[in-house]
Amino acid sequence: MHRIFLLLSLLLLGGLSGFNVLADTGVASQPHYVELVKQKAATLRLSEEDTWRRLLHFRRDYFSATGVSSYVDDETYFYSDDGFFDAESELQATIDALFIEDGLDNQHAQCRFVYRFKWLTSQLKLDAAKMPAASCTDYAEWRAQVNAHSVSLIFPATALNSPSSMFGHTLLRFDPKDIEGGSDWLSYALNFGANINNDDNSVSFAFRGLAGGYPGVYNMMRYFEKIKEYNRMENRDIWEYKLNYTPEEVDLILTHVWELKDINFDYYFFDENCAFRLLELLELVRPEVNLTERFKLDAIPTNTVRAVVEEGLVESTYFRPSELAELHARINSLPKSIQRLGKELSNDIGMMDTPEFSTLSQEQKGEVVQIAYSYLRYEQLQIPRNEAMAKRSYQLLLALNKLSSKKVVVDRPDAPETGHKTITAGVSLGERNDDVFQQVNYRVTYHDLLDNEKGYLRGAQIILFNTEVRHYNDGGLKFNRFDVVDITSLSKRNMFLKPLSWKVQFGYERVYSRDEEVGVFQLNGGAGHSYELSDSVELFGILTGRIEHNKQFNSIIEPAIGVEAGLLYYSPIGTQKIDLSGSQFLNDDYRMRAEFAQNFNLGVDHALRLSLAQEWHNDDDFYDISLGYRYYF
Amino acid sequence: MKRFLLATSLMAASLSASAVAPGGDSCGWGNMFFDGQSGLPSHVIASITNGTSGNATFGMTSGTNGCSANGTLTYGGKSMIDMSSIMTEFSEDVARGHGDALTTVAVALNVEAEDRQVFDAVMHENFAVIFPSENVTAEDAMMSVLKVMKSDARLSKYAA
Repeated sequence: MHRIFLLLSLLLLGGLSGFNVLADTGVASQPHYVELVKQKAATLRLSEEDTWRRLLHFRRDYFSATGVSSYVDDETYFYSDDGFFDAESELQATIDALFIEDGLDNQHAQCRFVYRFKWLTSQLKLDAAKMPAASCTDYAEWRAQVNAHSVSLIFPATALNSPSSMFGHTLLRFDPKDIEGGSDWLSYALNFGANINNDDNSVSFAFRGLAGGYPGVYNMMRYFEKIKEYNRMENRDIWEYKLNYTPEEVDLILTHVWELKDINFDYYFFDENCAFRLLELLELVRPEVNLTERFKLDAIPTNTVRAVVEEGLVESTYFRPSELAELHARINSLPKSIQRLGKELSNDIGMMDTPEFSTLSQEQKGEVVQIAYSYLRYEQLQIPRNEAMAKRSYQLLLALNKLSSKKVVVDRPDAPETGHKTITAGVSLGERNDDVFQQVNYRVTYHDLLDNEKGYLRGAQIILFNTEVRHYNDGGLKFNRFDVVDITSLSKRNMFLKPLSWKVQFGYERVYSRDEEVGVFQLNGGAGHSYELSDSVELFGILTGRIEHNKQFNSIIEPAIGVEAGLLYYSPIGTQKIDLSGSQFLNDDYRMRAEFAQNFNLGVDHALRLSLAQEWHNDDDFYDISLGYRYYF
Repeated sequence: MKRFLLATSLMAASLSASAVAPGGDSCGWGNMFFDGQSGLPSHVIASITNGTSGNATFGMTSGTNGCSANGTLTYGGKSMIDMSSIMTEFSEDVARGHGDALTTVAVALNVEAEDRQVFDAVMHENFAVIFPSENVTAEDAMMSVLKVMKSDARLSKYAA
């Protein structure tokens, strides 16, 4: 049927030099022209073009009749009932819609699907004179406002104590011409995220966020809203990658962004997330770039940033430290004795009248006042507006107005994409209790406390799906451990900041229990404090709780309480850890473990790891030592 | 914007006649300084999925929850960009006489590059005029900024 149609249209065109010629004869009334256009589109097989498929956000889908379907989960995105999976049908229906004579306002296909219209116009050499002319005032207003010349990929990095920021986030920023002479705060940010119903409780959220119950939508706002959100509210540093897209390419991206206004996608935390959606936009206007292909299962923002860098799309990188990082830098620029004054001043404005303060130099006074003010702002993050605090803040600003303070400089850390890759596999050789073993391990993501810290946040461990399989020379093959999740967050406390450190771990592991090695399911977690002893040494102590399902025990679930303390040394050759932990079960069993571990960094993506551990379980004690190689990819 | 929800009763009292309920009830120019976190549980939710709760704007004049994305404050007949959420940052920069928020406001008011230093200096000198107390609203402060500019020879042309 289709083929006959094609043949017919070819025959029809045989004697003519081109469509425009035919169109120009004036013989064709309007419906006739539409039909010709549709035939030409079919003949050219436009619907098979990459651009068209990318515009429809198609992906391979084995359950679809056509083998493909769209990521878009919104019927308003398609003119054809089958547009969700049938590219040709949607193309034909789009052409029909572009020619509709009624309702030539903002809802018209020419206004809603500007990229489609533009692309079809150039591919089919559409004659504007033979088409209805829609008046797209909304689009024009929007483009005047989002007046973009260049585009940057924005990556708010992970923050300690903000599990929700675990893997970071990415968004795009559109800058006008001569942004250096203006203010990037006023630029527009394009964000893809879930559109959340405020009434939801967090359990329902967690499930729906991961399983895909929330619609994902794009939205745009001034970039200062994002700076405020990440740099201030969430204390996250922001990395900004200016891309080498031309103004014409930027224009095209925006043309498509407009098509996505109010369009729902399914949002999945792991794969079809913010990062993935942005890659689609970057690919659309640079057909030779293949970004989304790299991320079949998960799109962790760091990796998408790395992909964008590797594809050679980045022109320059800018680091925008969080407000907290700036406060830290300011505090550290002063001697300890003066730092203390900042803290005191934030609580008591009268401090400014004391001799201690008045003997400071003018410059130091300014810094102390600035620290006191910034610290109050930091404290204000956790609580609603408070009259007394607002008053003190204001008085500090009045003082600052007379003293002024310097622009603070925060040392730029290594960029996240320069760190190790996020999947880890390794082999090791070891001995446990006089039995030699060989081990293979595989971690789906992301970073542990000992891994090379370059490009990662110190003290933040995020492990998902970590597997260890051992072969014992005497005991055969054993599934040694499977961590579903293993997160540790060590935020350092100091004179100003008093954050909690915490950890949570859940999974399967083999333990020695009552004269036997057994597999147990366990959940443990804890909270405590950590401190920085020097630039490269950290100390932590945590009170822990554990529940365990162990067939050696009488109860189905046995609870335990315990403690853990450790020392981390970030040495030039790799991170070192000394860790002591103990748990006392309700049934009187106990376990203790002491471990010395050292990571030897071999470049960024390779490492050796040494572990020397001694364990005590009730009346037994034994050792577990291993040396392994780890590869990050 | 959801995080800057503030007591509406406080702001209502201080709205001047020149603006018509800027930004709606719970957002916009009525914001007070030194705001805190509203503590909505949805904040956590929103940040995990990098989402927004019910306020999907698209850089257009109005968001879906009635919060004006562009504000209805006007100067010289033009509507002003809603910078109410960075007014606290602005106050700090005015106090010091430098900073990104100060530059942002200058650019938003179309102050040319060659006059920005003057703008910074004039704002800095008039801190106590623009921010007479801790209870000033973002709108009051913005109106004072324009007033101060009008009385300065170099800056008056931007506040016409």
